[in-house]
Amino acid sequence: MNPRHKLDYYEKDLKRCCHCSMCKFIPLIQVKDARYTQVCPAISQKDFHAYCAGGKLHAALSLLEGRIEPDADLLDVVYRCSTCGGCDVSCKHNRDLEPLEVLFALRAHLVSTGVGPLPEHEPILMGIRNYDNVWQQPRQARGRWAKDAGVKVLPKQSAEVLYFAGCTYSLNRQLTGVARKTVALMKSAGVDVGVLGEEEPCCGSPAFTIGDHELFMEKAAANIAMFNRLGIKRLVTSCAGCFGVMSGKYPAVGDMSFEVVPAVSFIEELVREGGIRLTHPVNMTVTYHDPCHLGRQSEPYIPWEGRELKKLNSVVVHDPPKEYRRGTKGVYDAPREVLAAVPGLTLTEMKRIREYSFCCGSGGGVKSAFPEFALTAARERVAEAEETGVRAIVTACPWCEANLADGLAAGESGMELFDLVDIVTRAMGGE
Amino acid sequence: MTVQTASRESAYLELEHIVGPEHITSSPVIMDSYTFQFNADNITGTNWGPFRPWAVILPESTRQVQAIVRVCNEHEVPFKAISTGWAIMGAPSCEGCLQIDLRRMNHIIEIDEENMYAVVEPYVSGAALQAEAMKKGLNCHIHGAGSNASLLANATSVCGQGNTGMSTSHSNRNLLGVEWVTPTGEVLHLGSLGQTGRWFTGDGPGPSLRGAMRGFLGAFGGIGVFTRCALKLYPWYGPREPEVKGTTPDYWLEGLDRIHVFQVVLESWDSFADFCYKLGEAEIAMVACRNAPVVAVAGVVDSNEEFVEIWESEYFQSFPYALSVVIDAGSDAEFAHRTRVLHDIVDDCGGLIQFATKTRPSYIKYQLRMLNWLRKQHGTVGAVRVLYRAARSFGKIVHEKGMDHLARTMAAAMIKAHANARAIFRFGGSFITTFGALETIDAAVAGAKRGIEVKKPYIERGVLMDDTGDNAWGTIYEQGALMHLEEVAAYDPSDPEAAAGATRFMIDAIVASRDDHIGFCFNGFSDLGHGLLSDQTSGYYRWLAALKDAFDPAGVSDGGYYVSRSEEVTALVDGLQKH
Repeated sequence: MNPRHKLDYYEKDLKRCCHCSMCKFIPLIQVKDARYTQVCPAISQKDFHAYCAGGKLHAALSLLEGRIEPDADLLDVVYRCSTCGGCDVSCKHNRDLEPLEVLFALRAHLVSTGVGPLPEHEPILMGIRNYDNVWQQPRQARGRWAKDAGVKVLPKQSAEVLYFAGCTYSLNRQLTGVARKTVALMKSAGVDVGVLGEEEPCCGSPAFTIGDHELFMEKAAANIAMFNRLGIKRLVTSCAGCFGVMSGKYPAVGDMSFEVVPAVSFIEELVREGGIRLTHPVNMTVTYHDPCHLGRQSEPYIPWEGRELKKLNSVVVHDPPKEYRRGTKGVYDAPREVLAAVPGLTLTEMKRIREYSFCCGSGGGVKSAFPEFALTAARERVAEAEETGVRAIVTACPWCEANLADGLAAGESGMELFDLVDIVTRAMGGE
Repeated sequence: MTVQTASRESAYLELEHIVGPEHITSSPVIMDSYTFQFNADNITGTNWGPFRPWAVILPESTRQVQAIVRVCNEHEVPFKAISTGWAIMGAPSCEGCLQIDLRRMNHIIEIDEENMYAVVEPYVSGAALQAEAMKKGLNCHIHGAGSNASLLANATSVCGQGNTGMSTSHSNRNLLGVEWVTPTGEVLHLGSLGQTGRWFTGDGPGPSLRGAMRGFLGAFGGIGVFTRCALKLYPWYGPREPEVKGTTPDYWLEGLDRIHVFQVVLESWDSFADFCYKLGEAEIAMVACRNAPVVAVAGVVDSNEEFVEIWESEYFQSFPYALSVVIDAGSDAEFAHRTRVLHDIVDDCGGLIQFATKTRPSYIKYQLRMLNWLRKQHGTVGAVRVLYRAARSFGKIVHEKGMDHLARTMAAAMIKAHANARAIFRFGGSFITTFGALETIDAAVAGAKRGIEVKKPYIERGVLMDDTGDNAWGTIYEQGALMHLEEVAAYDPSDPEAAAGATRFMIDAIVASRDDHIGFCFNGFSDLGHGLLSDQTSGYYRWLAALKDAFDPAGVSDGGYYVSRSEEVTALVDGLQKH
């Protein structure tokens, strides 16, 4: 196991947490409304301190020191969390600690000791192992969305750009349109693009977040080797989850001879460079929901190996200096720039956006294990969107889209939900 | 107190009936998340407080709190309430304690714009109320813990110092009407609330028990549960919804056209005190906050590596007698007037302005004065060395961001109190604070000087952060009526020797503040604190314990960080005095 995935690697962080509760809130200077102070869906719903990131750090230390035994309550605390990373951004506003990495390491610890994950997660892991997708669909089903797309299929053919749809955009029939539209607009812009069809593997992200790091490492290493062999220059993916893990985690696993680009950034580039033209008005007001995996969790991996030193008796410094991922280098501007380029469309922002966006509640395995939790988080996000008075929510993640759709269905606002590519396609004159 | 198991089981069921099963638990993983507390190491040498709660309960209303407290009385279950719950004083100090977590009581009940007060529940943070108050052109006092922490807890139960005290006073003086569930489960309404049902004053018409309920330091949750309170609000001259620019960790506020920061430096503690008095008399400032050099550097860097590099240049340490002054005003003319007055006072006291929101060409005279001071301290060669190192470290940041930018981030940090934890926890992970009497400006300065002397031996032993000894943070209150300067000491809580050293430093500081008549220090709480301070403070602890006896006859409101019952206190304090 990668030492950074081991819980004891973070022992000092566990002891240096100061119980300040910043991890519960958005960065405090960003609080614009008393109703929208919270950043963590877990503590927002469960209220006991253990459910915030600080509480999970305490749980991890307690476990390491043998104060508690692993039990069902510990699993509930650890897994009733969408691993959205909002806590990580807020903590690092003031501290140099790694709460999100601790959470992943805690899950990995529970899995490696046979305590975790939850039974509801087993089908996901089994799906990845046996079928290379989280939905336990046969491998042949994976490429169906692209059958009539008239797109090259790798590795039989070669292409400069690999479009990677991901498990959900490939297999969820409500969402496969996103993959088709993305490929269509890439082709219309003259991009030399190909897909993997039924050979497309799972990126491994769910295995990582659930805590099966052995499976994740196996998937990531195999995927990197395959992508390298394809000789592609760029891998473009519409799935925020795939992008987040490929950008933030893969570089720690192996050298990559290609660039990973989220579809929203690729589209923004095409719009900016005139590859596609957005000429048809889309007359609506929308708000944009930042997916966690496209935003704060997609921040590029920053390698660091070194040692910790103390200066001035107590000040911890790193040799060489360590750069922290604070969530600011995620993909925030590209989707907004694309929306700004759509004629007739007005973007109105919610109160919690960008690096301090409130999670839709779908990630980290909670949608499978705690569907009510996921739905409540989605309802909260939908309510925040409703307050802006817009007609639709736009986002760019299959997990967010599925969960926010459930949140919308549970209410009566009549707001619509779009993937960014739906809006772009309309602005290009399509449907 | 020992409690029979059968009674406990019955108590648990009754408590569960009050709040519902999803809002009470005794699960070990959840109990430990309340046992882990900052400063626990000063007692146990570990991150864990001495006692794990017996159970944690989450009430949502005063009625539920009252019912919980009555069950505790009936079954002799000690209880301890927390809201945002930061530091060991919020954790149980005895076996078998019920932790009442007030997180679900998080509503702003009312903002009375005309009478300038807000009524809040325990879990309303400074950030939440401030955002809502600013929409109405008002502002609230946010205490030194920062805007993540509970306003009610700070006003009713714990200290109350804060960055903007110059214009927003001190939490205990901002407290108006109060709703209090006493240790026996009665609901008391204090101040005008008790007489008129309105919240507008804390001291009559209606019963004033401000002294009994909190006094200077507060009872740290040892005398019942405060469930709602009214807090005084103050004018806010900035935008109703200030626009935040930048990205974490470097955020600032736009549109503070008539709110500017001036970093003022004096040449000695004496001229510093002189400046503080004059600034107060002029009544022109929104903020007058003293940040020691170590905190000033922390405020401009994004990493500890940057911090060490700048610190080692010795530039900031060369200007320790500094005060961050924020001037605000309701009109351009008033702002111009106030700014002029500030410059006059700076000149009058022989001081200088190191940087400001808008640095002026005329500040060249201050630069020359700074060079002169550097030369006096370090000699010509030494001064050049300091400047060279500063240029290579601090200069890089100034070049990247600009001095105006640094001033804007500083103003935002003082007004919004969003980065208070950064300035103190980044130096090792924990801190302890001492001295800090709310006294005259001269007394506060005397405390700061003494604090340095007490701290230095601990720095030499390697247990506390080497900040030169000076990390006296504090502010002026009510335009010069009061001031506090607390001596902060950072250390690494994961190092048991450092934790033990910090505790010993705290005890030395209590003794020094007592023996040198510097004023009632921060750490005068718990039986130990009272014991160390008692013989020169008229035995006040006996009155405190008598109040505790009267309000809490069953002794169920966990008072371990407040005061024990009379007979226990007398025995302990007598014992301490003998030794």
